[in-house]
Amino acid sequence: MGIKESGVYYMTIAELKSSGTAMSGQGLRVSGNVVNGSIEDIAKELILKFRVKDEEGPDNVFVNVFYKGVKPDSFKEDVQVILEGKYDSARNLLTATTLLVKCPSRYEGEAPPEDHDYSNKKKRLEVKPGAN
Amino acid sequence: MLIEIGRASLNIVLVMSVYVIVASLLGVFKKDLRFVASARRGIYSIFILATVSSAILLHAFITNNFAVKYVAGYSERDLNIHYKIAAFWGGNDGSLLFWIFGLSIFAALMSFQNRKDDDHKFIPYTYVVIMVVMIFFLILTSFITNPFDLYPGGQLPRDGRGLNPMLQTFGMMFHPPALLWGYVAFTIPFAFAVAALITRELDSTWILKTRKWTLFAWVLLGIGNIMGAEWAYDELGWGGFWAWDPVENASFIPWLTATAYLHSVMIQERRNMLKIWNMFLIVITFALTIFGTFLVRSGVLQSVHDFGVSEMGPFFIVFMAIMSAIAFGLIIYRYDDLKSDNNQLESFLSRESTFLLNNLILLALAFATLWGTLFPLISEVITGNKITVGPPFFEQVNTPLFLILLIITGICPLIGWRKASAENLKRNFILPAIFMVAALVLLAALGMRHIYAILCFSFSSFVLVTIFMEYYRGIRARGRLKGEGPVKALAMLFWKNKRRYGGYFIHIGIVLVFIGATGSSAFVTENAKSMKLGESMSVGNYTLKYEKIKGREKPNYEAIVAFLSVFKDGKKVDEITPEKRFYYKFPDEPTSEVALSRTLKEDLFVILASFERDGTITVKALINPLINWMWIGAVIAVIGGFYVLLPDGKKKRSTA
Repeated sequence: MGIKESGVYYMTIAELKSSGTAMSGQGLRVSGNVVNGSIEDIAKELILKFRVKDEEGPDNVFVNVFYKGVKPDSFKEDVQVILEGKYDSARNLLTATTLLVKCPSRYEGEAPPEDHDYSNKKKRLEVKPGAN
Repeated sequence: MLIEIGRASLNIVLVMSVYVIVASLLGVFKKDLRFVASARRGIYSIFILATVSSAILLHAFITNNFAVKYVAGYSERDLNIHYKIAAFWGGNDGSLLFWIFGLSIFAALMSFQNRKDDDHKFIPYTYVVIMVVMIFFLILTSFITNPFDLYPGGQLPRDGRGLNPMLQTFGMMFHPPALLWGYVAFTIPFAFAVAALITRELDSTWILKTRKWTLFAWVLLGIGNIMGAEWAYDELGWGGFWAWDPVENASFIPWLTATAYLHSVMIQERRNMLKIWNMFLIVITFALTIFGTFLVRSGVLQSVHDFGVSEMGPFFIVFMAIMSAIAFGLIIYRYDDLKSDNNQLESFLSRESTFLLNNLILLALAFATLWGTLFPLISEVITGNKITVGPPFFEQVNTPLFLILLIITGICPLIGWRKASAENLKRNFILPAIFMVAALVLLAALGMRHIYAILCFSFSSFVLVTIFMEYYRGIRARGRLKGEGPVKALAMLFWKNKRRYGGYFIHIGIVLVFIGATGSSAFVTENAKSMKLGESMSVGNYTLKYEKIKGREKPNYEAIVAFLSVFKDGKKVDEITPEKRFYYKFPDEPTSEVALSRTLKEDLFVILASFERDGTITVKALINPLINWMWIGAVIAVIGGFYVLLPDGKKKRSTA
């Protein structure tokens, strides 16, 4: 009970691409990595466009993503994301209703943490209202 | 040096745990109580050693001893002192030590409570079971993830890696400890159950001896769950408090089975029924606490917040399998003894049967939640496709169950034990039913169309009226019999019959949690907008005006803070400051600090989603009606829980 209507297929990008039209219009959950240089961030309209590919997969096997909503905090290039939405195979476009970023697992190796210099930290945060 | 003492203490605890098992068994087989007494003292020494060990790790955190890998991995110089303390349980190694520390306290307390009962047949076996659990965790900390491991070659990093920004929040101080110790505390009733099975002492003794323990574990686990919800609401910044994420479900499922157990043991105490069922419930609850730990740490399921993924998953699943196999094996072995004597349900209209229904619903909830959580794994095995189910599944399946549970909470106390008469029903049901129907009609007339919400609110009024009726009747009866005034009578009711009237008090809290959860999930209003300085946006009947934006520096992070004025119906009611924080140690993980404008009616929940260099900000705002009743209800339930934990006093429990 319930699963039929509310369950979604959990797929990799390669699986989705090779499914042909079978998955068109289906509720899907896809995980993949954001392709470098593919992010188009239209913050003022709360729209994000980017491509995702499988973590280990080749760059040319990708799906276009359209997402309208608030950009998650740690969203950026090359992070692993989990997307939920519907897939249009004709346009190779996933219209996502949910965008979650998976936090990278903590690195806990043998080596001690390296020292970092944070002296240039402030530059990023300069905000000048009305400057543009 | 200190670190070596910490490590050594933990190793001695391992040796002592083995000793306690040997001594307890010798006590049983040689029928020599001196061995049992020695085992008990062994448990005390374990408590002392585990405390020393934990104190040393805490000291390492406070003094920034980054030679210790675990400290360097989860702390940093500039971390606020209370987060340094909380970093203790920020990762695997420390939370396991914290687990051991908790178990050592509870074991010592429990054996101290029973110090005069060394001759009681099953006490030594409880020691054995508890120490087996202890040894499992000690093996993990001693050989796999030792919190006292140092960097090789005595390297001493200048600073640590820092604590994950999402953990640098108020909730981190209380959510993990409550959850972990709640899990741990279930070991005690589990140990008594297994001991009772082994020794064939299957009357209610083990249940009576662990009544408070079970309640204590239940309260802690409840605190852990609700603090987790509060944390998600406050920190994760998506506007809700519960996402039916595997990690959340993992701690909710054992709480459901424990709730069932708390109720069903009352039937065994009173009617000597349901012995097998109670055994089953406590074993399954214990197994689920271990399974929950497995889910959280193994990473087998996709979760948004897998902080502590490690290689330890298989250990937990194997341990859980072995412990439940033994326990269920014993239940089957003792099946003939457990079959209740000729006590049967005399009527469907009896308190026993409403308790049973309550149990079935709670178990159904637990099962549905577990099923949904594991569905990706199940479907992959069966169909080859990994199918996940999200919040819609859980809401569809669980909401009706929750509603039935809610109404039973009201019906149950109205029905007498054994068999309720028609007269009894009429007398008890009329008033609450009137209130329920009135609430239903009123809400529908006011235009509410969310059917589940209408049902929840009207059922809630039913339950609250039944509870107030119970208090009123108790007060009136005492007034008649002892001539006490209402205030004194109420106080005496609470004092003389803690479980009953404290229990109702917990129910009031739970009803409020239902109301808050329903209001805030069924009637959310939201809006998102990008604004330039001086611009405004509206959400519901609130208007947010963007006044200014400022940078702010703290020792371990800096933040961009947006200043917004809140207007309601044209009047300025509040100023709020959502911010975006950039922790120096986690440059890739900016975190949004939610700003809240709280009232009893609703929360205005505001997130600074993004900002541009030119000062343009994008803000998401939500209105969450009634949500604060959830936290208020939780506090009431916890107060009620701790109140019922108070000693019963000399007087025999009255049987009203």
